[in-house]
Amino acid sequence: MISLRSLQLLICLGALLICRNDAGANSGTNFFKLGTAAYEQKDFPHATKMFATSAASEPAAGTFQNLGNAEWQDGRTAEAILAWERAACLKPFDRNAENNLKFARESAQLEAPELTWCEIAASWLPANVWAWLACGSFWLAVATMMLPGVLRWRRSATQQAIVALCLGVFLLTLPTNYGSWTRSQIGFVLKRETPLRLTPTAEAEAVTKLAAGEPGRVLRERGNYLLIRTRRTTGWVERDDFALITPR
Amino acid sequence: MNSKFKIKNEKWGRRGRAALVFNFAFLILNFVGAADGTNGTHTNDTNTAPELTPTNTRDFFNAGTRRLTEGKLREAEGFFQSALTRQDERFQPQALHNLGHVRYGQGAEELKKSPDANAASQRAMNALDRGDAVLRSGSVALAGNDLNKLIEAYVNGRGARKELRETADLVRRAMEAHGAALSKWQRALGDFKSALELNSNDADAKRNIEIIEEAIAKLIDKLRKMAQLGQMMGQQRGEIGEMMKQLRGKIPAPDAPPGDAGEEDEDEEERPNGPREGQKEGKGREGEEQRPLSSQEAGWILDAFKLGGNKQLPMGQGEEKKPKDKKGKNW
Repeated sequence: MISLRSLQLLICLGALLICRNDAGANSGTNFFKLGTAAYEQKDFPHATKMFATSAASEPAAGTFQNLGNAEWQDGRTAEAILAWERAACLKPFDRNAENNLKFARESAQLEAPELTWCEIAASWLPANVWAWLACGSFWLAVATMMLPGVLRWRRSATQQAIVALCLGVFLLTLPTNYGSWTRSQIGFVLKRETPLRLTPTAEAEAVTKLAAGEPGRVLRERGNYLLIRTRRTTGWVERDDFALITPR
Repeated sequence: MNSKFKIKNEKWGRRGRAALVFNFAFLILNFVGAADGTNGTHTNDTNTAPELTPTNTRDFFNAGTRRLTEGKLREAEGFFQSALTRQDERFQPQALHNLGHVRYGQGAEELKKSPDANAASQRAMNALDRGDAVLRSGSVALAGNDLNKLIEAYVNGRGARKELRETADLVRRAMEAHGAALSKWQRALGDFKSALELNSNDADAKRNIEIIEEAIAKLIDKLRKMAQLGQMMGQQRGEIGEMMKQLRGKIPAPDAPPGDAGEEDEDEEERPNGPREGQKEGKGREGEEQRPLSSQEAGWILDAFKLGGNKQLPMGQGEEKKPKDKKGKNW
């Protein structure tokens, strides 16, 4: 039996958690406002910092969109592309990020990442929507199958149709969820003339130099190095020189 | 490979020899160990085994090792690089180790093709000594009014300038070859360091790193010395040219040595009129048209020779200004 004291403690903890989340959201909003103000005053380095802090505490498509704009104005093409890619990942319906990406890549003569068919399908909706769809459809199918038996309801054709529909949706979301996962391995080179190393070592021979903003897909990790595959070749880059669309 | 042994024996002494023999044994063991692996397409007999087109990392590694033992360094390098490109972690340390050997060998071959650094330095010093003597005699001639002495000093100056120009070119060629060898050895050093980074138990790689660092330090010493000599030769040529201009001004036109008045004698081949009968020219060396090494060029070449990483290797010990081994063997 839970005592009154324990119940009070639980309520306090819950309230604290809610307040903390609120505080986080508030600080995120504040940083966003500060960033917007700095951007309007053309203080792009400061705006970048504010938007980045806001995005770290409260990731949102709009914040990343503005962060990308500030980075672009600050002359940091790779970081701008990364921010817009993140914005597009969170909100695929928003065409602004996509247009900005197209423009930036044309200006910097960079290529877009090469996507597989399931990654293209995954980009139609936000990644979490696909996850929710898979979970929802699966459990709805399970519930529709199990509940009539448990509650002694009469099985109807409608229930069976719902089960079939839910299972169909679940099966359809599997490749898109896989696509979302593989898409999370895509990232961008951040530094100019980043050496693509033949081996994951400090004194490695450079296979080629990568331009800032060039896309790559992480295949493996070893120590401070990531094995990435670009459109042309495969090699190792230092962790700090490469950032994934979905940070870990 | 034999040439590599020779070089290490000559330059690195007992320590280098022992290390190389040990490493070579290691290399062969690696090759044999790899060949005994899964596909079984290679045997230990490197001369008779039919070689199939490499299809996997092991094949590329074995093919590279085979070429290395045959002394086909360029091909070996390609195979090892292909093996490394396949990113198979099992073979990377060994492939890097052997690639280090290949590149060290390539650097040694570059040095074999190069003019001997010691000989070039010695010749440069001789040319400088002669230039000094010519400058001294020119000053004496300029102080007096003896026409014969003036003409003799002028002609000697021309010969000294020509010799300086030719020697400077020899030094430049030696520097270029040494620079190429240096870049190969720096890459070899990087390969051994990478091999050690991937396999910290690779004692051979550790020893090779020490040996190559030592060799690189010596090479850089030689390069610095040659660059310094090149700079001095360029400077002395200018001084002699200035002196010749003054001498020409003091020599009456009918007695002036061949060539247009007021011109310095850069290339006698380009002159419309050759030397007059009875006139002797200072000693010069045979050779084709040469380009002198300017101090700026020497600086550029030296600037390109940076050691890898932040590690500073021991440089010259001070005694290199006057090489002891005047008849040193060609690398």
